[in-house]
Amino acid sequence: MDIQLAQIIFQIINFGVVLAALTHFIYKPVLKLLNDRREKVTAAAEAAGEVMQEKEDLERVRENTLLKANQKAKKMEDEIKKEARSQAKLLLDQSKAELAAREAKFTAELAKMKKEELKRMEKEIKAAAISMAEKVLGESIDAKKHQKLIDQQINEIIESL
Amino acid sequence: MLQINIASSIPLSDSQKKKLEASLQKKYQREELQFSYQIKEELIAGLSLSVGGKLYDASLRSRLNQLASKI
Repeated sequence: MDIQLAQIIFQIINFGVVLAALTHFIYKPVLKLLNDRREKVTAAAEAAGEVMQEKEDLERVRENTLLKANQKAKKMEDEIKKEARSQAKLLLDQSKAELAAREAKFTAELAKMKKEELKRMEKEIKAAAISMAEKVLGESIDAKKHQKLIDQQINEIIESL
Repeated sequence: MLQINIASSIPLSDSQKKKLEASLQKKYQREELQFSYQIKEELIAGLSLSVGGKLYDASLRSRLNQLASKI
């Protein structure tokens, strides 16, 4: 088998042409395509990263907002409970004061009624005692005693004049 | 004229009236006295006497009233 230089050179040139053609028409577009794709992927990844970051930020904001809302709600709840306890205590104190006042009034009225009743009973007892005394004395004084009593009283009056 | 009202639970005897009038005349020598007698059973016993605005009440009713005011 003979090695022909011209043939080799032709083959080399032919290979170079094919290589150049492939490089120009295939390799470069594919490379460009790959680069473009890489750039797109990178951009997409960056965008995704940004979106993720934004999402994390939003999540953080949401958590912060939720936390603040919870804290505010808890504070409001505490304040409402405190206010309710205060109102309940106030009402209780008012009720106690009212009850004490009513009790005092009732006691005073009762004491007054008791006093009045005692006074009335005392008056009745006195009246009964006097009535009994009148009856007993009226019946026990006969005419003779009566005259004697009047004589005695005339003397008393004369002495006191 | 000085009005003297005498109230008693039973009528006074003449001697009692005379004794009373004589004593009063002696007390009020310068006055002309006019006596008025009344029977008041509510006095129970004894008599009361008013001279002008003054009252001498020795009746049993008066004593009982005094007693009632003290008890």
